[in-house]
Amino acid sequence: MTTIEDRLRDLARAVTPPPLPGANAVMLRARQRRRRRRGGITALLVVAGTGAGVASRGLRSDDGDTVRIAPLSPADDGSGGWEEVPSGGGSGDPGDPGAWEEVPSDGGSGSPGGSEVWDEAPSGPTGPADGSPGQWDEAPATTGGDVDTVVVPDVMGLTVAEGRYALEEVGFLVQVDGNDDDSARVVGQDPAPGTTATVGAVVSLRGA
Amino acid sequence: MEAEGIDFSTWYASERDGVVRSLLVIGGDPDGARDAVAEAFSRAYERWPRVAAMGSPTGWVYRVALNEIRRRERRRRIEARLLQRRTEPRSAAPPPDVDPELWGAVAALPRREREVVVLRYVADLREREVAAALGISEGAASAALVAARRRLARTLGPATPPPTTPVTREAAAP
Repeated sequence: MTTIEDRLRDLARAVTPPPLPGANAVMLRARQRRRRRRGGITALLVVAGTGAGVASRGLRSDDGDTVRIAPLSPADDGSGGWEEVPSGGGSGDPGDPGAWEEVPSDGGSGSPGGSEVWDEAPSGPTGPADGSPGQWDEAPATTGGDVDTVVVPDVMGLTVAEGRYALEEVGFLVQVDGNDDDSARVVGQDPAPGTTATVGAVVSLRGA
Repeated sequence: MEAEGIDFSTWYASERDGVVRSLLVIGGDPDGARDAVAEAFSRAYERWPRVAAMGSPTGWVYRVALNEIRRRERRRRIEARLLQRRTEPRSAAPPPDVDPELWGAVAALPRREREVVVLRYVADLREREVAAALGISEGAASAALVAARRRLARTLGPATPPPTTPVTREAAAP
């Protein structure tokens, strides 16, 4: 007799995992986000506040690059997150010059799909911008230069969906107590707005 | 998986297939699962020393990836509303080699129960890790697991019958 549990465990053997990018590509993505966040946080919060769900839009970051904010692109083809192209890509970074040309070499156990490289080729740097040296290494909007600490945004009065979005964008995990409908209003948040917390920390919202 | 002391690439290589597979079963969308999981792992890399020192780094990745999937689904619903378009909440077709009846039964579970049952049996997390990955109490995780098993048993029958016996399928209504 096969139990429900056995059948569920068999699912793990039967389902072929969708191929993921190699480790290098994942690490590159983290570095890009860090860079993007540096210029994009304020704009993201504004966009989050309007609840806009329109297709990707360019935002000006403070070093003049146009940064495409991936989460706003339609995610229905699932590829939205892979399309960010910094227009001045790598121009100011002596330590990471060939990031876009680099084929992620993954030493891991190959996925059955075999697709270890990005299937969407990035369209590459379009030319050098004003490149400030070492920009990849700069900390995002943090305090004390510690990458892992971020100011908690003020999401009081926003809807729960907007608050969640704004907090997750800067790297917090969100837990909603009370009314957790997307359209509920945030009437409490802990830690309080303006305090600092470590990225990855849980911010509790109270919805009403 | 305990990750302290190992490097990110090694950990990623060992965990990624399991995570993305479970997320596919939960969300039903291979591309969405792939992107959410890549995003979650890249966030883990951003703060690797901290994540590596956690009791369950993989549980943390599940949590971030599940949030990411929910966020994308929410955004897609908003976009669909703005564009007056209908969205399919979950792609219907099971992957090849997967028992369509089982796939359908799991897909029909309420969200929380589906998450719990997949993290427990497909991802093979312990109940404590399941609770942590979902940000709920162990009691809530256990209760959801019991409810999910009961619902699956109603849909699928308590055990797989021999091939000759036709499957009697009750209405999926609770």
